[in-house]
Amino acid sequence: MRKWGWLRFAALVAALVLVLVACGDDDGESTTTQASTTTAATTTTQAATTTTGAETTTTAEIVVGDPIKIGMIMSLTGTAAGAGVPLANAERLAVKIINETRGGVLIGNTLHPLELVEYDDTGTAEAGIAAATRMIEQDGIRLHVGLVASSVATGVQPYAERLGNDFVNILTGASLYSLTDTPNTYRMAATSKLVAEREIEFAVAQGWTSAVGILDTTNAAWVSLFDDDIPGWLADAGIDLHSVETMERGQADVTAIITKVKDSGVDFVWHTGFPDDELLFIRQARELGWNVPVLLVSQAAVAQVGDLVPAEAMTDVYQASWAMIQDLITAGIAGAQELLDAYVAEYGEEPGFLTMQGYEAILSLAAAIEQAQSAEPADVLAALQCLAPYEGMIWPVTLADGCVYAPDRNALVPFATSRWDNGVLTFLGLQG
Amino acid sequence: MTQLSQFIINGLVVGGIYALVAVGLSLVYGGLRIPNFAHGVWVMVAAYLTVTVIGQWQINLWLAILIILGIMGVVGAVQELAWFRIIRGKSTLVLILAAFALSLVVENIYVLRFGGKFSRSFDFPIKGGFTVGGVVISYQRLTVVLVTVASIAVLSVFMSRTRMGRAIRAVAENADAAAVTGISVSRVYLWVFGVSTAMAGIAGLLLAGMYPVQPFLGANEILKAFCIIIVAGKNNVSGLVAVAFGLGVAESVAMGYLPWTSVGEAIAFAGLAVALYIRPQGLVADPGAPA
Amino acid sequence: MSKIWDALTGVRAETRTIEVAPIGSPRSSAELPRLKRRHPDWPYMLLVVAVVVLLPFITDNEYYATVLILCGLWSFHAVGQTVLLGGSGELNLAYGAVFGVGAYMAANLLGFDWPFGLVLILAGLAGGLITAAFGFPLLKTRGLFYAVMTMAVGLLAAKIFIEWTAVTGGSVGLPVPMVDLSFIPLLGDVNPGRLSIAYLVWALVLLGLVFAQRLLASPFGLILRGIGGDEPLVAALGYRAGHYRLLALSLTGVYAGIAGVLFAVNIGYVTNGPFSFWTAFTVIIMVIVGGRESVWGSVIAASFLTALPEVLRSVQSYRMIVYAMVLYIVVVIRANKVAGGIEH
Repeated sequence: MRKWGWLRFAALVAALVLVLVACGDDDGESTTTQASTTTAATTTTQAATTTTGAETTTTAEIVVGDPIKIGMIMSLTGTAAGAGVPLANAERLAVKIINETRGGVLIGNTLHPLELVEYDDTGTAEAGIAAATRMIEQDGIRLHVGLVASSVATGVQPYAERLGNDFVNILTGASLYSLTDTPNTYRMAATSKLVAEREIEFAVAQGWTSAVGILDTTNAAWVSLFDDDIPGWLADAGIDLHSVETMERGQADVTAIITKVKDSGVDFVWHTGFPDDELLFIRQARELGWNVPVLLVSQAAVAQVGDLVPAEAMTDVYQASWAMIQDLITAGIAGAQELLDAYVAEYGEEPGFLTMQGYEAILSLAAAIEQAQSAEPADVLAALQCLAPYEGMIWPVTLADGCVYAPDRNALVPFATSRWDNGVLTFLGLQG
Repeated sequence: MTQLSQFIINGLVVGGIYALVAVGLSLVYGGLRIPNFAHGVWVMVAAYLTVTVIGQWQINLWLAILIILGIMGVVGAVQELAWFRIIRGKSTLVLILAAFALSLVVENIYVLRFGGKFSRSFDFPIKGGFTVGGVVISYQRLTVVLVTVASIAVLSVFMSRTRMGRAIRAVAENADAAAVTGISVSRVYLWVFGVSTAMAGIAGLLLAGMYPVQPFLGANEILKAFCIIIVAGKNNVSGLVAVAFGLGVAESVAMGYLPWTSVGEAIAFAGLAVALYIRPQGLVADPGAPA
Repeated sequence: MSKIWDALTGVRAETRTIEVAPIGSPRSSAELPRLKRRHPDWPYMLLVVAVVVLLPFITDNEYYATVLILCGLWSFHAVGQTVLLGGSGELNLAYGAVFGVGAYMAANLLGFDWPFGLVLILAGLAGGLITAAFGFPLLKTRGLFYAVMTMAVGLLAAKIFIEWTAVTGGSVGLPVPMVDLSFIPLLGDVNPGRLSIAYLVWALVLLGLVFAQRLLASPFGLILRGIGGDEPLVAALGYRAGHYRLLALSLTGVYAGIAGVLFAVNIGYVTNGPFSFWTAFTVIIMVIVGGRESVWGSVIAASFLTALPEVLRSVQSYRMIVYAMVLYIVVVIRANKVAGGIEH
């Protein structure tokens, strides 16, 4: 028994040593399987190019400094991955483009490459909080661009609030409007309120007068809207809300819901879930013989049509949400085609939902750093309060008095409407 | 009334899947007394195989089915050899833990490999359906039910008519006596696991055409399968099938008529709780099995 | 009354001619000898205290406090489960749900400005009572069925957590108000918020550990282990097996409730994700890896398994695979010792 006592003691010491090492290990590395951090900037000295806001002299020699780390908490796996993965790809691409074309961000005469450090929130709030804790405490990163699920973002929000001026949080999705109440939180996306308003306008324009709402009970951005505002807005718009059916994100079988409302004779189904769930609903509805028009709040990932849902089922499906790259190309916006090509070249498939947000958000952060001439959170926040338009900006973001982000800290993103027929997407119009 | 009928039809499809999984599980649990919680992951693996082999590589349907079933059978046998053989005969706690460990490992390997990709499905080759009195029955879903019944029927024939089937039943009743008569118990174990996993494979094949395939597919079904086995008795195939279909229908009807969507799931467990409370040894007493 | 109890729990004492108490007068465990402790606890406890207190002076990475807290939380969980698993060898897979009850209680009651200490105690009590409530009907089952039933209870609870939005916030969750822990004396002044929680958690771990250890070494623990080995025999000796099983189960509930409050206060936002069957199973992994019957083993295994993915960042993504493989290896190697309690 003595022997076991010493063995236990040794085990305890070993465990404690590990804890010690845990604390000493403060070089965080990227933890995801698809980590593609940036390529190193070239080290040759270059003549400075004038970038927005920065005053650089063309005669000084440029040195390459330490990378500036940007954290990205994203739903890389889990039920929100259908939205998170394209976003993550877009952010990685944006960082790569900045590093390759400009070498990074220029502060004074030092060029700092950007480094994207990734964290997977798996679509759950507690993993998101754990990721935020690691990012902020273990890796010491104070600049964050990411988050797509409102339920995860609400979990991280109290933490962000406590950090105040010592943290920059640019959301790339997460459309719950109250998130930008925190002064250090900006959003390169539209709030669910705005999406709801625009979509109701679209429904009215289509001449629809009755609807069934499908609500994902795990989607924080829409749960409160359906509780408080939407019934009223629909009534004002002359649309009769027959019922609101609830499901869970990732739920595999919605045939019960469909059977329940199939014979209600409504003009359209308003699905407010994530892309995977919307496509599943369409598929199962069509299987049950229900060909009702469906209005989505996200955009279907092009890659999943024909696979997750058969092409023929994708008929009479409408999108009236923020603009995708494909919409911008059709609208003739400069730079969109190049970005699409770059994305396809890098990832081998067409970009999906939310890609624009990821790209623009990274660019806006880089611009803010250069405008502030500092990577300190407090300075970057000051710059974001009125960020001047920057090189590479594609989205025809309506400027709020010349600033990229409006006083409520949301960017005025463009909306696009489009329609799916037999798996083919037809662009209908763009609103600035 | 039509709505109720539709709910029932929908429920039969889900019930069919439950039946497949439960019967497959009962082979290992009933025959070998191993509560194989890893059974569910094989459903998921088969679904991924299906999406790749049929959806992506576009291999001929019947050939693909044979390939997938064959692979799953081999996987099952390997599972016994590599994972369970070493703890054969140990206490149930050990077996439960080992089975869970296996399911965790396989699930997380798939999360690593596929978690970051879009969830996939495959386009079921037979499209459309027909309507009977206002109730829509898609050919795909009809196929699920037919395949379920057919597979279980084939399994029953296998168990009663073939040599290996009889050997399996012999070992299930009394392994030592079976060994004395010259049956290779080890071979029987391999076969049982192989057939069980092949059944899971059939479930996976069917599911891949209906639901999006993601690494946690089958996690739900395995739990319900255990509930079904506990209620119906582990060696009672017709009982299992009846309870499974009943469960599917009950869930579907509950989800349809009650306002809270999660209720459907809760039905299984509430039913189980009641059943076990009434008869702790299961609703159907097992004549030859130890209590 | 005792006859009703016997009928409900399905265990009847048989009359024998040898040294058995007649039905109706259960033998008291006080007649049994107390197990002598082989080696003292206090050096290890001192070591733990030293680590927790001195860590801020060794490293200046803020994250150490979080790792300490995580290790502490899981150790507390593991100690709780050891009472049951190390005693009668039964699996309580509804542990995660009771953990959730504690966390939601914290989120709600702290929101009403109830004092922290009171909430902590109430959560423990609530956890114990709720567990006793669902555990009572479960006494009829044993082994695998018992485990599956607890799993079912856990799943039912998970559904309730999602649907009862008024109390739990549904899938969206609830924020947890910040708690003023400034009454805890700290050494060093790095990140006082987290460090206070770390002190608190580990203090409770040590308390819980001592309690669990004494319990398992006591006659109560002896009988519990007897029940795990051969329940009819213990019942035949006159002990009411149902009482012991139920009490052990309820104790795990007390730990779960308290752990819930600590968890809520640490993480700041409560959603239903962590209260699943997987949490319960992870805790069981830790207990088994540490040696089913050893409380200190549970603490060491829990700390080790928690700290490992934090230390080796590359292991993070493989976390569950590592846990599962470790579990499997431990179970295979110690297959004979892991036995007990769940023979079907």
